[in-house]
Amino acid sequence: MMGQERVPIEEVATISGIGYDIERKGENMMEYSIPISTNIYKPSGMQVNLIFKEQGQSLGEIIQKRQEVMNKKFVQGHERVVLVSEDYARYGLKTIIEDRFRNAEVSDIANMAVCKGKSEDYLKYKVAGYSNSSEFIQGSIEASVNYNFFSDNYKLMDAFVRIGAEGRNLILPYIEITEEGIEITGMAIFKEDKLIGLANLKDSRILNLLRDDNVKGIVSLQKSPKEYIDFEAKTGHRKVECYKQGDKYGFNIDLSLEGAVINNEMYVDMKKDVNKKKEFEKDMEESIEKQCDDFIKIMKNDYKIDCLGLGREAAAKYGRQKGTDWNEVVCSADIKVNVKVKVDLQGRGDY
Amino acid sequence: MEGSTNKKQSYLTVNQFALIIFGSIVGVGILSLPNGVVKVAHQDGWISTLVGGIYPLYVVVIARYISKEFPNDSILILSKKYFGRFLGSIFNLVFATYFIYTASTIASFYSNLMRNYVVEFLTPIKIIVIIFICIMYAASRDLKVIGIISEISFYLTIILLLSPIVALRVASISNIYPVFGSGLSSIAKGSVKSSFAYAGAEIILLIYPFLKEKKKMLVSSLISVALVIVLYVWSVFITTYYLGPDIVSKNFWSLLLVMGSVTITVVNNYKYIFMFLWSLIAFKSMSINGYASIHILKDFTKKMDIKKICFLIYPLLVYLAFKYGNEISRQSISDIVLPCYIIFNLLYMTVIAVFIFFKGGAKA
Repeated sequence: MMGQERVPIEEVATISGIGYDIERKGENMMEYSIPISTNIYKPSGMQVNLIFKEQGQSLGEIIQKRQEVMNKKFVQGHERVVLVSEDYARYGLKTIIEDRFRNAEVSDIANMAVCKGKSEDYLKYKVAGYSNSSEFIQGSIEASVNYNFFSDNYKLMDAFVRIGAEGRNLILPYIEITEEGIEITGMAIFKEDKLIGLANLKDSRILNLLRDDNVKGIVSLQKSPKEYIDFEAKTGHRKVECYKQGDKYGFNIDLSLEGAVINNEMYVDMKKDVNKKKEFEKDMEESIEKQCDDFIKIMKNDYKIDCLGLGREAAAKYGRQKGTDWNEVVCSADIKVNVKVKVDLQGRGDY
Repeated sequence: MEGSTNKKQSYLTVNQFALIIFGSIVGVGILSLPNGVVKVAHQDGWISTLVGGIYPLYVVVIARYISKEFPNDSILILSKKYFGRFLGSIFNLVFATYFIYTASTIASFYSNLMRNYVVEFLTPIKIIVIIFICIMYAASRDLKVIGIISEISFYLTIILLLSPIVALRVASISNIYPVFGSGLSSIAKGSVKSSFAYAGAEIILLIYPFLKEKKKMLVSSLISVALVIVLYVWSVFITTYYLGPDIVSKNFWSLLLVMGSVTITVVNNYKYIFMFLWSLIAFKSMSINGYASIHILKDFTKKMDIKKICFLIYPLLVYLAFKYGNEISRQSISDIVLPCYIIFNLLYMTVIAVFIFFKGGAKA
């Protein structure tokens, strides 16, 4: 807090993003490395972005070392992103969450993401038109809700309420530096606090669609490059029904997608013909259900955890605090997805 | 009457009377109320809180019974009347220490909270010394002043506690299910735990002689206690709903974490606005408790001026509040001391009510 001593803005370094890296140096040896991106305001009115990176055996040691090279007062609470390197995520988020949770000054609504390679490179990355890359990364995570069924549950607060909770698992956006710049390329899937798998963007869409309420995205049907139909959909509240037969659990997930046809080169006369519209809806439902089933197969066989939050629904029905391993329960359960597609709008006309 | 001394008596309005009771119960403790309850009763913490509400209701009913027989004598006079002068005075003194304890523990709670979130650079003693100057000033005034403070802060309390209503949109109701899933014994344990959070309703035993319209006493106090119960249940409910039963006890002041869900345009962090305004509510409940302890001590030393008592009690309050230490040690002290006081209070008023019942409301 700045309250203690009033200092002009030129004498503070405000944080805009923080990264967490880890370096393994053998069996039980490792070093934490924390880069932070700070904004410094010059008397001339100019704003510069500086990166401070220190390494140490503990997070406290890093803060000490950081002050040795920093000539200004460090102010927290303005961080926009918390980046975690893939290695750190595989090691476990526990230390990060502890660091962030205990500190009352940090921003609970900073966005989190897992990055390929070192988080330092992402904070250093120069994005054209931006004074720092943290702002850009935050923007791209927040904007991702628009077309890929991403939710807005990737904030620090969301990690707090998921990691320690029964029947819930965390997922975070996975970012990479590609030729096009910093890009979201999938989702990082966690079991408790450890990263256990990465989903590519195609799987991530279905993962998010199945996992969250009220998400938006585009689904398409395609026969050939000339024949396709795009459907921009919004899901409503995901309904999960959980039942138990003997020792075996089962889940029915009801998804409803409602939205607009934004391109139609496949179903001729859909605008006039109600049957054509029904045919499309049916085809679309089948296609999405198939994709969902494929993903659930991957989830059960590859990730071997419940990344859809089904355990939470089961716990809410059959009781908590009984020591049930919901990941195991969900992976051996029958999961059926029922999709309902409803074409609401069809744009302003048919050309 | 003995209690009214020779000064001219100023009476409380019904509103003020009810809101003093409200204000005496609802203080800073509500920020950490979900912790203890949810730790024991898990997702059914809100049910426990509802059941725990029996305690203040019981206090109100007993107070109603006593006041019916002795409308102008507070419990201090009655205790001396039935237990004898010596024993009665001792019990009254214990009753006074209860309010001293509550006032000081709230101050300690408040300074711990503030030092964690806002004023890290201040030492606890600095905060506590300043707080108690304000509190003693308010408490040294008439009961009417306390009544008006309670009235003002009541509206603030309602607005602040209802603000996390926006969290309803964010999380999922499955955090609350299965209802009754944690088992009756857990819920019962949680109820006992939550009943401590309702401590403070005992003030009614001291202030009923000051209410002018005695007829409205029962209704008004029941409404205010019901309101407290509703707000308590709401706070526990929304905290569990937002965070989930496993996460609640991880934060010392879990209700504050829920305040993070409130986003207001222009406002950077609502949590701090909440804390700033909540300070006024903390000061109010400290003032009420301070007033109560001074009022009881005054009963011992009739000749002494109220201001002198304030000066005497001030160092004691500061010392106690300082001694509780950090949040963990304060809580562990509170876990031992508060139940003892609650049991004492229950016995104290119940026995007096029983005496009245058997000996009859002899002409006062």
